[in-house]
Amino acid sequence: MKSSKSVLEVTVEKIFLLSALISVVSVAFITVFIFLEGAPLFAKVNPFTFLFSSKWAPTADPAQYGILPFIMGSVWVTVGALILSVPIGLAVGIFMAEMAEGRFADILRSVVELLAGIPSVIYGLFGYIAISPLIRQLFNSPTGLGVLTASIVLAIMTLPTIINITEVSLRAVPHELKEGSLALGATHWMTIYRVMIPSARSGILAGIVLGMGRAIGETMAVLMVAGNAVTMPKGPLSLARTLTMNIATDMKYATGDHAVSLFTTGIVLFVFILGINMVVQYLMKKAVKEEM
Amino acid sequence: MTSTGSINLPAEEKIISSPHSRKIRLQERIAKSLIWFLAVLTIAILAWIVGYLMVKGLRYNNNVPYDVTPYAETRLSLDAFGEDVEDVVFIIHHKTRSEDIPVAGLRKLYNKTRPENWGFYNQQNLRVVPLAYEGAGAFSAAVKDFILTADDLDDYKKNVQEVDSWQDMIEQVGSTAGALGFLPASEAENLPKTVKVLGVRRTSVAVHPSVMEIVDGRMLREITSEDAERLASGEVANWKDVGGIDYPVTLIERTSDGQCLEELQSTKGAMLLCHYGDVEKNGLSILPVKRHETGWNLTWHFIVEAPARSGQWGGISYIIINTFFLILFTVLFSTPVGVMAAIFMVEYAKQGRLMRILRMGTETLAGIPSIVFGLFGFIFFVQILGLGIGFISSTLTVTLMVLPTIIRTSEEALKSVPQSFREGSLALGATKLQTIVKVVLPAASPGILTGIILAVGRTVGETAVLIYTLGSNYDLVSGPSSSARVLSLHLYMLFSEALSFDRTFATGAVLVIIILLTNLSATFVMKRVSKNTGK
Repeated sequence: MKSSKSVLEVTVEKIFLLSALISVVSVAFITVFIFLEGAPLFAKVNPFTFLFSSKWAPTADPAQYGILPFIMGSVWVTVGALILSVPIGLAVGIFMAEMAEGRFADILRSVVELLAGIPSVIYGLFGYIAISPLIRQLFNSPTGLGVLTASIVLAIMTLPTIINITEVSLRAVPHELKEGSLALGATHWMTIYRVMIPSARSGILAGIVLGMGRAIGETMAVLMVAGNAVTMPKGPLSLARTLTMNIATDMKYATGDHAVSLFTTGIVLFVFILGINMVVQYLMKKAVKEEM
Repeated sequence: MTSTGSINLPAEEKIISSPHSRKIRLQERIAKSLIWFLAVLTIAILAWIVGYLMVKGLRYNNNVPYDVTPYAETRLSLDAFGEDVEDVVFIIHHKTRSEDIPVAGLRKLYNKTRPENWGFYNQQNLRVVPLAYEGAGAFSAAVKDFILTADDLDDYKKNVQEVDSWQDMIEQVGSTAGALGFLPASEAENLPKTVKVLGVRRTSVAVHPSVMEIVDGRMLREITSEDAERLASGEVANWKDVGGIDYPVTLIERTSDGQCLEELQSTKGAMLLCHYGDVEKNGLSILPVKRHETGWNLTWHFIVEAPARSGQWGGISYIIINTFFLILFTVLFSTPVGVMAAIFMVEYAKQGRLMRILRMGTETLAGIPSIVFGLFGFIFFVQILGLGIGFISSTLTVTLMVLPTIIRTSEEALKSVPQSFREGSLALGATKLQTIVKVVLPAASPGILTGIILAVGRTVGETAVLIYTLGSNYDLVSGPSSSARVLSLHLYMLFSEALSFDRTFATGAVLVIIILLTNLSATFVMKRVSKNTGK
């Protein structure tokens, strides 16, 4: 093994490096092209107006591009989804890490994996056909579609993310902490919520933020259940259009500036997601440090 | 796990028993019950979703309003079209999936110049071949009168194929897909298995117009078939019992002269069971009757037949094959790149700046939403590289999407290969590359396989990325630039065009089954991995 590396070895190493760089290059390309396509709109529309005007009339004359209703739509459905999914996700995460045993644990694990694997169109179809009639009857809303229905569907969709990361973070809590707490006479539950959860909080928070990213980025399911109305959402029962829905709906027929504005919407979405990703990566790093 | 297992049971609780500790124990019990409840709830949610979709996907269950009652006649009397003629029996090719048809539909099948399709009646994409025999004198004339209205005689002549005898009719119908013919009842005794009888529904509920008037903003639009039976047998005394106006029902007997029609027109609240033909001829008001239609939704035919008419007819065979191709090519593109990237990150890269950038790239890529990938694919592959909306653009975009999944799982798999394997191989004089290819990769292959299966699952479920990169053509993929549909996209198209909820659900059921299978196989492979590494 003292002999110098052969040409083959070096070439292959270079190929491996190139493969590894593809994902980095893709991220760079995606960023560059979305910005290149979307940014020209700012020459015509003030970025401030674009973000904070609530008038979206791209086909009117003069066209108006204000995506505040869609930003608020995304915020409403995401917050709604998290309100529902965080308590359940935390509880099930705790259950999987600390309480589940034997067959039931296996079943629950498979269930969480399946929930993560079910395609978003299936969730959308289910929300439309099974959840929206319930909402219609319970709250007497005309269509049963809207923020609440979308939140419920998104809550189910983000559940696996939150459950998995909560479980992993709790399992990563050093045994000494748990054993110490139990040895001091604390009950199992007290140990969980006074010792383990606080020490796993960065990881758990990372899971919640990751779930938030999933919810903001989700397109198909919300497209099928949120009602897709170009108005500012006013409450849980009002119809909404999210950023993702705006792109998916208008791309069908958009031309000229209208098409550009959809890429600009894409920029806003992309920036949101990048921000969320950074927070997740920061929290994850912090979690690893705390555990050491 | 095992070391903490014994500590999990707080036996000390029994020793201390102050009010304070009781409160703590109560708290503990409530918290744990709540957690148990939520865990069970999670399972229930999944069971609800999968169960609901499978039930809806497997069976259809609809109430469809028709102008005629569900009562189907196999032998139709032709009294109204000729004196002393025999009853007629309509026969079809045995593979046509229709049992009966409204009389108006039967007429259309015979008369349209444009090839009429069975799809309108049973979603089977099959051209109708109407056959007729003109050589049976009064009988043939009466049948012709029955299936024709005066003004479509020319269409009939263009469309209908003549046969030579009743025997020839039976043979032709039995050997021609989509054939439709007729026989006098006496000839239809011992039909071969290649021919089956088509029932005709021609009884309508004709009513006095007052029955369907709007009263207090409500009107009787249609009735169920059970109500129709009760009405016909005289059990219902008042229209309000079937949801209509508050007025007594007058049941009129059908007579062969026009007497009953006059009576119907002049009596408020009257109803008459008569032939649809009479209704059409005299412009009577019809009360539509809902037929309860139920059956298998997800059938073998649905799986193997080609889609037609935007997926309203036929099945999803092409869609399934397109899905398979998308999976195949995505895996073909993403696996080598992903695995090589993972090899570089585990075996070659040193901790440092490069590694940090690579890791951040992979993680960011994993977090980018599907619709943003769709936008990117649309600008970059479709427009800038000029690949057009089609198979290759979408495959490349999806490849980028699933890359992080494959890189991550392969990384984990490579890391779990014990260092001693590598050292042993190197010590035996193998080069680094030889060690990786011959020792590390085989040992890591089950883990890598899991990653590929996960990527397959992700590919099957993706939709948003495909809308503007794959298009909406429901034909078979014919080349790299051919637009196509895959299952998830087909489901969304059927949903958004509101073409058929039954077919949307059937497609959804197929999708769920595929996801269940991929998940099961991933679990299976992972179990084998943990067993192997456990040894």
